[in-house]
Amino acid sequence: MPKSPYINRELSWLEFNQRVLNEALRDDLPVLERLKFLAITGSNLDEFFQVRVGSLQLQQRSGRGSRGGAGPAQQLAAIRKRVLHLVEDQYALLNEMLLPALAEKGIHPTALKELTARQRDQLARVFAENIFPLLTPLAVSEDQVSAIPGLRLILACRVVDESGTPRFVLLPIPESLGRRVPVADEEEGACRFVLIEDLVAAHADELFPGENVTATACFRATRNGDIAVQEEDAIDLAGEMEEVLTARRFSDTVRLEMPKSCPRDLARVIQQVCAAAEADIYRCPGPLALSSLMEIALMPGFDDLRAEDWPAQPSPAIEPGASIFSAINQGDILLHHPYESFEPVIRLVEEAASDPDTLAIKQVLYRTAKNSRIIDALIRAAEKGIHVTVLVELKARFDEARNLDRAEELQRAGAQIVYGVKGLKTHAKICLVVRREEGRLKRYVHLGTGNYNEATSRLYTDISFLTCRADYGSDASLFFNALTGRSKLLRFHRLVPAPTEMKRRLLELIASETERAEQGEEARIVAKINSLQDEEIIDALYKAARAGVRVQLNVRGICCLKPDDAKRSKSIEVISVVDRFLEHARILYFHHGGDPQVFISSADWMSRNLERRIELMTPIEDPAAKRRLIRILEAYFQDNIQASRLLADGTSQRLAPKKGEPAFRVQQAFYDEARKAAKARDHERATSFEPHRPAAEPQA
Amino acid sequence: MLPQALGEEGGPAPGDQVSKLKTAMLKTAMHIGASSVSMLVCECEGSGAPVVIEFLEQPAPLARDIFRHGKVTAATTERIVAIILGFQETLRELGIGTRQTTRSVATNILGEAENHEVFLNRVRVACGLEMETLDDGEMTRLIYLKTRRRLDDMPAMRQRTTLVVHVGPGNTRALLFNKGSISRYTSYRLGAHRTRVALEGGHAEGAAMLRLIREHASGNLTQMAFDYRDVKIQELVILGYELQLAAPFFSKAGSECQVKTLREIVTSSADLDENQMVRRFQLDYHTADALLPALEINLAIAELFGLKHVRVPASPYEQGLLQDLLVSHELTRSLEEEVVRSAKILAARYQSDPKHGEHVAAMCAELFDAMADVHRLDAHDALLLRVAAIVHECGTFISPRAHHKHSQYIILNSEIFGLGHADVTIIGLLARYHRHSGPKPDHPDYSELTTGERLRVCKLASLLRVADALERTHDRRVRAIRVERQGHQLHIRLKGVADAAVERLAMRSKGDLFESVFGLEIILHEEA
Repeated sequence: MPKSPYINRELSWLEFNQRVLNEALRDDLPVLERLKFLAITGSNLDEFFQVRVGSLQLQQRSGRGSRGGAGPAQQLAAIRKRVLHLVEDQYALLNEMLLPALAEKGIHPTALKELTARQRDQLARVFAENIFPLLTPLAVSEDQVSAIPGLRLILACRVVDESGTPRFVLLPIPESLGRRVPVADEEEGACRFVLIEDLVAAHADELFPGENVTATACFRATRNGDIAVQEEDAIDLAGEMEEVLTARRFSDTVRLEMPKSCPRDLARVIQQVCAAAEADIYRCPGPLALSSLMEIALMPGFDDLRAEDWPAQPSPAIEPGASIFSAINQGDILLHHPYESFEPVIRLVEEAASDPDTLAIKQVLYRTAKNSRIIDALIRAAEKGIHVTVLVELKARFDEARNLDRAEELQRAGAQIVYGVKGLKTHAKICLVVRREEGRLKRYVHLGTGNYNEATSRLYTDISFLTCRADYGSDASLFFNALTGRSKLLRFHRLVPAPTEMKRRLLELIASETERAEQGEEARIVAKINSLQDEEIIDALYKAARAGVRVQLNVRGICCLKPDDAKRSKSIEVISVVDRFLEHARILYFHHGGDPQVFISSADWMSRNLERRIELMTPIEDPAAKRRLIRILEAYFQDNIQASRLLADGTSQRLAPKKGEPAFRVQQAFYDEARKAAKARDHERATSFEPHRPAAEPQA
Repeated sequence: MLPQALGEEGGPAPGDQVSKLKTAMLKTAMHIGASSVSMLVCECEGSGAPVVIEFLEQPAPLARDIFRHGKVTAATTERIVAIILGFQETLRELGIGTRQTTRSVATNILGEAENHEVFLNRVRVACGLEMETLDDGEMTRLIYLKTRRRLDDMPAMRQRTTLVVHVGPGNTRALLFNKGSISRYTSYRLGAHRTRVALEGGHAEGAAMLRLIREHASGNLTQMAFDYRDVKIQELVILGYELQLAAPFFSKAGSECQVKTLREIVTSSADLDENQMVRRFQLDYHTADALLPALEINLAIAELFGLKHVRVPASPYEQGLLQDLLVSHELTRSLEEEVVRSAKILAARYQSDPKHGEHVAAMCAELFDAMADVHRLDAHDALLLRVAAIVHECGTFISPRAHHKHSQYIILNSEIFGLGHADVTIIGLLARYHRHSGPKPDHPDYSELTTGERLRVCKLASLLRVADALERTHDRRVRAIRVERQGHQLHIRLKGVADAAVERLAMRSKGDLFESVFGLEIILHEEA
């Protein structure tokens, strides 16, 4: 690839996935924890192929090149080389380390031939009763491309009739059945199972009476996910999104996974029906779809094979049982998830929904949880006649289907639904509750870095900011008025929106630190983000570094900035932390001559976020909240257990405690801190009693 | 226009949520402007500053339609209706009846659209809103209010001779402030949108476009130079929708903007296409269309007076305008004084005896207050009466014969700062009826009034006639009056008069209207 001042985005992402895989390689971690990390690398790669490789293949086909850096063909070749290496590592880890370790602990993924006759009989019954009725064979010919659904396990069978003529049949394995078929085992406490594709393969004969299945091979195709609605022409975005979802299942193949042992003729047929190029094929020495190993990692029991649970703690800022509104009225509330519970955010919506003083609730939903309590509350509120406005982002990739369903439910309840904004993905995390209090209007706002998703809020590190400051409320109203098309986007008092303001403001903030450094002042930038790719921002950071600004970046995933470059970035330190919780919070610090400017943000420093998405950056002005965020930012740079330092070639080097240096694991420290704070609060309550009083008499 | 009460015609529309709030605390102003429709909701408590609850604004090309086609097109009408319906959704969310706006006004340039009544009807039918069209007088009042605040913020400016210029969509207004008070007011048919549309089709770009704008504006600029030829202008404050939206991109909030900087901005902006203008100044397309003419006209004015710097208010124009709309109909004391000052300037210009006019005005005020519970007129009517008393004799400049008709003509064709056309019409009629015939249904102007307005004219004219009768000798013989009502009689005690024969004689010819309007017999008493 040509020499560039930036690290290639795709390779940088693959290095991040390598860092996740490195966690699975650690033999000091419990085995199911390691299996979970391996599954994550699998699902990460699935998405990477769908989106990034898909996009590059489209670019290649259309003849469009990348600006400056390597062209799509070069990038695709580099990606393949790196992925082959990664896949090799994944399977070596699974086969040589994890499977034996699991067996040692009584978890036995077993081949059918290793089962007893009794166990095989049991499985035969399971197949006949539960699986057989769901299978639909699909005959294919060697010279024909078929509509193969993406990311599904499919069993290819060579079937031979009495005359000896072979034909080929595909058996898509229903997703609803799960990957693991349990087998009764005499060993106490053990868990034995076979993989569903093995069971189907063993009984495939039963689907073809009078014929023989002479060979089988499981395969999995990944489809191009970079298909979007042509929004400008979309009259009914919801309708068109449904079409896209269908199209995405059957779009071009960007990756074809099949076992190494796949017979040649079957491999040829599979390649043909998937219309896959040779460069798209990955031959795997083990079970496909590593992402589905998550099912095993999360199966009930075996808690001793997992890391100690770190349950979310209640925030000491909020009295249990007290109204969330009165808590916010006492001052801004900052929550650090998942160490602190997401419950107050859910309660904000739930309390608002059941509150007679609530006039309106407005919210952006990007990725929601299954059975989301927040959506349930919004539905209740709308049914009660509260004005509920929800922007449901249908373009939240891979969550479109769920978002569509819930949007329709909300609409039926009477909520005003907006399906995003034309041409822009709405990624801001904001919720506004308008209440009447003592004859006046009062607005409560939640601004966050993470989605309104109860499930991910237990796994992702994020920041929530709850406030009833009038200027934040006013900005929130302006924001929703603009989103719903009632008003143009006006200038905000406090919040900084993308794509209109944020990038300019960030460049100004960086330039201001640069200027201060040039004038001999102390200057410092600390940013915790998930991805850094925007070239203008990177150039500004290079310039700042040259001027002497101390730049500390904590970038979880893609980082196109080249650290450690003597000419450009000598004073830039880049770390990445991969631990049990996915690092997701975006926190920014600018020294600003000793009067720090601190922000939380929904946006990464990527061109797509800053220029093509609706995002919000929130300045934090409450001194205590500001101090806490600075402490959080700084703590990451002390981590010498889970942190890696990024190197100029895009790879990373894991940090370790230096001689005499105490070990420090930042996520552990945050959890301990949250637990300690919650305990202290409990202790306080136990020593000073607060009686429950009867509710005040309603006023006449 | 006063706030409409619930249950009246302007009350909540069927289906509106029952108001959850003490609605007296919320005030709502809606404005159909030249290139946008906006709405402001404020919470007001006591005498404290209003707190802005909501501000919404959406672009709509009204000015472009009016100046290009002479009417509002159907597409723009429907766009504006849709915007207002969206705003009404927000009002519902706040628990406010959708028709319960405190003030709903449309830009004064709407009057130039041949179908303005059809347009207002459509808004009334679709949205249930009665929109009033802003008149020149109120526009001037609004500019005054804006400027007043700015002068209050910057005491140093109050000591200087400051010209405040507002380049609007169709007209430019200039207010000259001397030591904090208005000393001159002028307006010109020169506006940002009017200029933009006039130059359409010329396909000029860059410097050529700037030349065209200057040429288009030159007549008005020459007139402005003439109007202020005798004044050394020390400060220039420039106001305007487009200008104030773009100002943050070239001027630091609240500080001076160098004319040199303004010139650079104008020159560099002239080379941009509309998309680049939109991106550079973060404007909508309609506003971006009018920005270059607005900038160039303001620059030309600054250069006209040889200034090195100008001042642009830091606050957003539209939001300030809506806030002022909520208070401008309740004229502030200082604004009233400015109106009276302007009336006195008019009277002096036509050599009307100032002492006579002011004395009549003082007696009018006594009568007005004494009859308050009978005439039920408001403070604004009191102001119109005061102004009419000051200028009622200006027609003598043409000829003492039929001077009441000359007065009406002069008043109708003059500017009185802070008063709109409707107010000026009433003042003209009051001057017309201060002597000789009282109002008759076939009199021009009077016949065009509504019944309510005719009644106002009759009441006010009757008071003016009585006061003028008491100042028959033009020498302030009646120093002051004391007024008392007893049954069907109004007793007026004349201080300083030993023999009121002259006044009684005058009252015989001028008291008729009063007696017929109020059913009271006037009895004069001497109080030497």
